[in-house]
Amino acid sequence: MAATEQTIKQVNTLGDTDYKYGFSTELDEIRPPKGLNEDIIKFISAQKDEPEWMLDWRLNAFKIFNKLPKPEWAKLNIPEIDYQDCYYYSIPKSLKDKPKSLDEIDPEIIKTYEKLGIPLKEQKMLSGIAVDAVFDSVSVATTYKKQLSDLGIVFCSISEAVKTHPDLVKKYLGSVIPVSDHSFAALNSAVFTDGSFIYIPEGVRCPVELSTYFRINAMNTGQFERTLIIADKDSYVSYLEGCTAPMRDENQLHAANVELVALDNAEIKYSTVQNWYPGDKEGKGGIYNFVTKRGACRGKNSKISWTQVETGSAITWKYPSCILQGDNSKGEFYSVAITNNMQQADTGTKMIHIGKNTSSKIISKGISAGKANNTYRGLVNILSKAKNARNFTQCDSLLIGNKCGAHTVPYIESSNSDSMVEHEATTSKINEDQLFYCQQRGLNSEDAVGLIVNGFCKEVLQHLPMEFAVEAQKLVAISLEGSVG
Amino acid sequence: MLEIKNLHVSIEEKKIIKGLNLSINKGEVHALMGPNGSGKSTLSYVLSGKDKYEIDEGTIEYNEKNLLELDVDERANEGLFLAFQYPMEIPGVQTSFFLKTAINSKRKYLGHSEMDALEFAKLMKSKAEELNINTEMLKRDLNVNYSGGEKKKQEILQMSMLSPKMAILDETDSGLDIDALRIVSEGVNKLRSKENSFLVITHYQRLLNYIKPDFVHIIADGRIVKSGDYSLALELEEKGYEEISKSA
Amino acid sequence: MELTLNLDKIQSDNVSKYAKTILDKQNPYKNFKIENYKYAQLHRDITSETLLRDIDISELLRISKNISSLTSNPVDLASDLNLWKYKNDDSFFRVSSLLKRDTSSINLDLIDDKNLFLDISQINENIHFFKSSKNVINLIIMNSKANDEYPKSIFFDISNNSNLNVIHFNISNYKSFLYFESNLQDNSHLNFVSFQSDNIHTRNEFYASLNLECNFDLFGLNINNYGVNDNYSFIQHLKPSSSSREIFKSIVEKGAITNFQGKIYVDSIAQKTDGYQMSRSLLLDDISKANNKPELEIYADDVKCSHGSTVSKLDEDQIYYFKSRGIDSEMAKKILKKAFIAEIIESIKDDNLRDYSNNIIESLLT
Repeated sequence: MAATEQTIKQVNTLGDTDYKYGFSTELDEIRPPKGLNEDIIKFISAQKDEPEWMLDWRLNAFKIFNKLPKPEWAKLNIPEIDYQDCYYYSIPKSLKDKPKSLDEIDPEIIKTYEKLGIPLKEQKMLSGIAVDAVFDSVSVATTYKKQLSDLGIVFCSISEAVKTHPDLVKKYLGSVIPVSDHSFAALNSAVFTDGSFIYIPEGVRCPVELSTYFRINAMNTGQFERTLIIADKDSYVSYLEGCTAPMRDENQLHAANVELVALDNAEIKYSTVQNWYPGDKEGKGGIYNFVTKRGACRGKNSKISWTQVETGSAITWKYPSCILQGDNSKGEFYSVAITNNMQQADTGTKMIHIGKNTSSKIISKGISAGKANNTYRGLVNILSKAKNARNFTQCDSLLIGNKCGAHTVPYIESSNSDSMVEHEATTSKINEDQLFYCQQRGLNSEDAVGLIVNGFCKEVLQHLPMEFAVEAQKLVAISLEGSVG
Repeated sequence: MLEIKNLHVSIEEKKIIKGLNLSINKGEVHALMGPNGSGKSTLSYVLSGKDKYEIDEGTIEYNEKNLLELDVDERANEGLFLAFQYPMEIPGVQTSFFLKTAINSKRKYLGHSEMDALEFAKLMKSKAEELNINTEMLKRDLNVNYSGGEKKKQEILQMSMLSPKMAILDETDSGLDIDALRIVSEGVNKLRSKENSFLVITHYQRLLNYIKPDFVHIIADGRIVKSGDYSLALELEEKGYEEISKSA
Repeated sequence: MELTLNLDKIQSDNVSKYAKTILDKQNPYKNFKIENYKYAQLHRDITSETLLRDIDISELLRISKNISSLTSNPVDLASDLNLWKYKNDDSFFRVSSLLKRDTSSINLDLIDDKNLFLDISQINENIHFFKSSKNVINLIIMNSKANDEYPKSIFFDISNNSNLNVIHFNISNYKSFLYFESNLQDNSHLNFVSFQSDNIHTRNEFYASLNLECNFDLFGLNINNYGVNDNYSFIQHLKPSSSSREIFKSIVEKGAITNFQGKIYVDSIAQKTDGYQMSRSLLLDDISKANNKPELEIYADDVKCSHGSTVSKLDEDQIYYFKSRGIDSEMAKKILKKAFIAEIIESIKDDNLRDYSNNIIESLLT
C-alpha cells in the first residue's frame, strides 16, 4: 500500500484546498522550436535514435493528419487549437544521455516523483507495483524490469521497444487505431514522444499491477503518449494509468493513443485514475484531454475491461472502445466522470460486436456540479453476423445544483436478430434525506456529499485494482469541493 | 400408451439421463420420485419436446407413434400435456384468449370445427368453478401477478379443458398450501379414466396421499433405480432416497 | 432526392436569411451527416416493389366527423420562422414545410363533436389546431398512400387547462415526411398515439414544449416496414412539475430499417420534472436493422428522468409454452407480436376508437 498511502499523505500535508499537484520542477529543458512540421518530427525521431522505418511511419502519419478534418461532433466548446503554437517535445537536459541506473537521474526529478508519491527507488516498493514514470516526454525509469523479464514479460517505454522489439511494434502499432482513423490519432502517430509498451507472453499471468505515471511539466508542451499492450494467448495483465499536471495559465494539450490487443483466452484490465488540472474556478488554464483508447479482442474468449475515474482536465474527450472480434469475447466499461466548476466532459465508449456470442457491459456514472457539463456518449453496434450478442448498459447521472448539465446520448444499432441490447439511464440528485441523516450523525455537508457520491459510484470503483480504489475515493471527494451550499 | 426404452439425454455435453426405461399403459397413474438433480424435470421437458436437450440414445413410443419425430405442438395436439413446475408469465396475452386458442388449435389438428364463443365461455366457466378459480382472473394476462398457487391451478384448468391422453405433472405440489393441494388433486382425480394416463413427478410423498398412484418409480442419477406400488412411496418417506437407492 | 423551394413567400430579410441558412447548411436531403437525421436516409430514394394494402376506414368515418372541409382558414406561421423556440436544432421539416406550403388553422373550440377525422394525405397544406376548451376531443389524423417528398407540418396549440387526444394512422405510405409540433400552456394535457404500418420511406417528427404542470404522452408502434422508417421526438420541459411519457415499440423484419431517436430536454428551472422514455424493438431476422438513440439533456437537479431502450427477439421460452399447449410456432409468434404492441393500443381511452385501432392493427399484423 506504500504508493497510495504516500500519495494520500502527500495530499494531506500539502494542506490547501486548491489543486494539490500544482507545482512544477525548475529544470533545464531541451526542446525544438515551437510548431508542427516535418523538421520537428525528424528532430523528435533523431532525439530518440529511432530506426528509419519508425521515422517513415511518423512522416506518413503527418501527411494524413494534414488531410483530415478536425472532429466536430462532441458537445463541447473547443476553442480553436493552434497546432503551431505548441512545443512538441521536451526533455529535461539531464536525461538526454540516458541514465543507466536510478542513481544517475537528476535528483530534482526524483524529488518530483516523491512529491507525487511515486516510488522509483526499488527499496520503497512494498506493494508490488511496477512503475514506469514518464516525465514530460521521456520515461524516467522502469522498476522491476529484471523480475518481469525473467517471466518473459516486456515492460518498457515505447521508445525502447521500437529498438529492442521492432517486430512486435511493427506488427501491432496502429493495428487497432489506424493512423487515418481521425485527426488526433494521426497527430499522435506523427509526434508521439513516449509511452508504455507491454508484452505478456503465452500462458503468463503478470504477477504485479503494471503502472505508468505521467506528468506534463513544461509550459505549452502537449503530451502525446502512445501505449501498446499485447496479451498473447492465455495471458493476463492489469495495468493502471495515472496522471497529474501542474497549474498553468495556458491550456495544455494531451492527445494520447492507447492500443490493446488480446489474443485467445487472454485478459487485459486497464484502469485510469485521471486527475489532470481542471482549470480554475473561472475555467482558465487546465488540460485538454483528447484520448483515443481502443481494445481489440482478437482471440476467442478474450476479455478487455476499461475502468476509469475521471476528475480532472478542462475538456475531456475520450471513448475507450472494444472491438469484439473473437467468438465469446467480452468487453467491459466502468466509468465515473466528475465535472465541477467549468469543466466539460464528453466521454463514453464504443462496443462493436463482430464475432459470435460476444457480450459487453457498460456502467457509467456521471456527476455534475458547479457549471459543468457532463455527457455520456456511447455506441453499441451489433453487426449482422454477431450471433447471440448481448449488451447491458446502465448510465446514471447525478446533478448537484441547477447550473450544471448532464446528458446521455447512446446510439444503439443492431443488425442481428439473435442478440439482445438493453439500455437504461436515470438522472437524479443527491437525496436530501440522506444528506440530512449524515449531517445529523456529525458529518459536515461536504463529507456527507462525498460519502453519498462514493456510494453512487461504488459499483464502478470496486473494479479498480485495490491499491488505487482508495486513492480514487479520496479523489472523488476532493473533486466535489465547493459544490454544495 | 407410453414406452421409453434406454433413454440417454444430455444437455451442453453433460449427461443427465443415463439409460431410463419406463412403461405406462392406458388408465394408469405413475409417480416418479427422486432427489434434486436426478433428472425428473429433464424427463418431463424431453417428453414435451423442448429443444436444447440432446437425445443421445433410446426410443420413446407414444400411442404407437415415434414421439421424438413430433414437434412440441404436434405432441400437445396428440394429447400430451405437461403441467409446468414454473409456468410462464406472458404479459399482453389474456388468459381466456390463450385457452381458446389452445383448444381451437387442437380441434383444427384433429379436423374438427372451432368451438364457438358461447360454448367456450360456458366450458371455461364450469371448469374454473370446479377448481375454485375466480373468473375475473381469466380476464387478466396469462399468469401475470398470479401467486404460485394460482399459477398451478391455472395449469390444471388448462389440462381439464384440453382433455389430454397423457398428462405429466411436474412438481405440481410445490408452492401449494393444503387447501390448494386438495383442490388441485380433486381436479386431477376427476379426469382420471380408463382412456388416459398420468405421470406425477414429485419430491414429497404428500401429494400421493391425494392422487394415489398405481405405480411408483424412484429415479436417481438419471435412471430409474427402483419400482413398486404405492407402498414404495411410504417406504421412501421412512427411509429416504439415499438408502433406497443403495438397496436398489 | 431534390427539394427545391423558393423564398419568395418571405417578406422579411431576417427570416429570409435564417431560412437560407437552414436550407443550405442543414439539409438532410443533401447531407446525410446531419445528426438529428442520422438514420433517416433522406438523401436516398427508397422504393419497394410491394403493393401497399388499403385500410378500411368506413368504421372510422361512421364514428367520427370528417373535418377535412374545414381547412380554409389561412394563418401565417412563416413570418416568424426564425424565432425557433425549441432548445434543439431547428427542424428542417418545419422550415421547409412552412416555406413550401400554406398553412390553415382549425379552431377546435368551435366544433361540437367528440371524434374528429382529418385525412392529411388528401390535403396539401400544413394544418394548425387550436384548442382552449376543456371538453374531450379525439382527433384522428389519417395519412395513407401518400407519395410526397416535401415535409408537411401539423401544429397543436393547447391553451391553459385544456387538453387534446390525437390518434395518428400512418399506413401504407410510399413517401411521407411529417412534422408534429405541440405547444402546451400551463396545466394542459396532450395524448398522442401513432400507429405506423406498411410504409416504405417515412419519417415522423414529434416536437413538444411543456410549460408548468403539463402532461404529454407519446405512444407509437411501428410494424411491417418495407424500407426506412424513422421516428424522431424532442420534448422540452421549460417550467417545473410537468411530466412526459414516451413509449415506442417496433417490430423489425424482412429487410426493414426502423429507427427511433428521442431527446428529452429539461431546463434548469424545470424542477420536479418527471420524464420517462422507453423504446423497444423486436428484431426478427439478420437482414433488418434497428437503430435507437434515446437522449437526455438535463440541467435541473430535482428531477426524475429515465430512459430505456432494448433490442431483442421473441422469447424462446414463451414460444415453447405456446407449443406445449398445441399452438403452433407461427400462431404463437403472431400472438406474441400482438402482445408486444398491446400496450400502445391499450393507451386509447375511447372504447370505440380503441376497438377500431385494435382491429386494424390485428388485420395488418402478419
